Amino acid sequence: MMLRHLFLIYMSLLYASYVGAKSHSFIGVHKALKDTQNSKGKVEDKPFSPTIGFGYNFNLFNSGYGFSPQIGYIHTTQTADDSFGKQKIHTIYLHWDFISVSSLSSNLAYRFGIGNFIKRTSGKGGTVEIPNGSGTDQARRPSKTISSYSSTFDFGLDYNFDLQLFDWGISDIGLRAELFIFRPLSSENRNYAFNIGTIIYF
Amino acid sequence: MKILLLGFVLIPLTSNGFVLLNPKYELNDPTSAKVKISSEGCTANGVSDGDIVEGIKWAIEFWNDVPESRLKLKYGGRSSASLSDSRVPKNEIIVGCGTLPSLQILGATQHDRDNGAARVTMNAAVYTGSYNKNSFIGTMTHEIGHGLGLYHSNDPASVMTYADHDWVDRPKYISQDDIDGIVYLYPNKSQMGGLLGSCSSFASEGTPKFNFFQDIILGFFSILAMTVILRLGIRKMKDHF
Repeated sequence: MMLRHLFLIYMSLLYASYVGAKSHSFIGVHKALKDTQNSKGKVEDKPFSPTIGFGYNFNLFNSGYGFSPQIGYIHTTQTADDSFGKQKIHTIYLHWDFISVSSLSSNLAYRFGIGNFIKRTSGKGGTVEIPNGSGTDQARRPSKTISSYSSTFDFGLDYNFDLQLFDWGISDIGLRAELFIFRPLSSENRNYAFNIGTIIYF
Repeated sequence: MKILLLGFVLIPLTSNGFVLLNPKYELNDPTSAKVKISSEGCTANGVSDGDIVEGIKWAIEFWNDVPESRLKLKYGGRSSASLSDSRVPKNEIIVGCGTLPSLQILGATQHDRDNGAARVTMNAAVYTGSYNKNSFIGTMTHEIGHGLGLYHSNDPASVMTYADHDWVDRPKYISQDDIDGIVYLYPNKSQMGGLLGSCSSFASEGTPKFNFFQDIILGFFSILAMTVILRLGIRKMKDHF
């Protein structure tokens, strides 16, 4: 079973290399724009979370349009100040974006598409003594691994510097800024996050 | 020659966070659970139905504000069930006033695990006369958090906290700890979660088996392969004509 998966991945990479799709990596930061409160009841100043990704740009029909899927990982840096529980949280994202080269500059491209964020929370379980009314009680720490899927609408910009650093094994370097809209169809619970960082084309 | 420099390792971060009241308890259907006023309400000790409705609606808005969760509480009006009934109607959280053993206890929550439901008792001895409405609403939000399955938090930002904090009576926003707890208890199970709405049928069919490698990595590369094949087909057609 595992061999079949590896074979499919290998074939995909081979095909992508054969048709000249540009592979790229993304290194940047992610920030959620949702308002949460701190212990003073003020809006919490959220940290930037390091993000790393990998994807391909396929030029479609030799036009200014392309398909640019990418997969990435967000290192969650925001943690609760709660010593009762203990769990691991990490986020994987998949973006199914299209790109369109701008008429303003051939170095500038617009991105738009759909994204999936998969937040995985896992805990080792066990109990912990916590205050309850005038005494204490036993509470349970999370014991399962749970995945939560969130879909987004994505909008962004890529700017490539047109550097040709082939000696370095790099064909170009650029910048990417992308906005993600969570629950885009809900006027009450709509939320936003963004990625910003460097793209390195190989 | 393309060089793939990037290889990334998934390094999960260990964080402290929420704890659960009972790992086997959850709302029967979190996408349509209703929060209702119990049959007795709080009118006997001078709290109007209007204030309870305001508190319930505020708490609903608070707990529904987690985009990565499928929880979608609704206000359901007045329930026929009383706080003293042995069972709580399926998929409901009922809220009313009753007698609690101490003035130190502002509210209490009991689960009906079989019905995926809960009852919230606000302390009638505290919330009477010229009671503090913000405290009433803050306590109700905390108790409804228990009704969802969360226990006390040690994060002073959380509405579930027992620790000292500088926000008074009721929180302004949900905290990250509360969000993490709700996402754990009621995750979006649909892979289009939040975009096209969650599929409520998942709730009755149990948790679908998720295989990270098969569902995500394989899906990604399958679409990649399909795109490449499409491009090859187009190129071949262009050469032909």
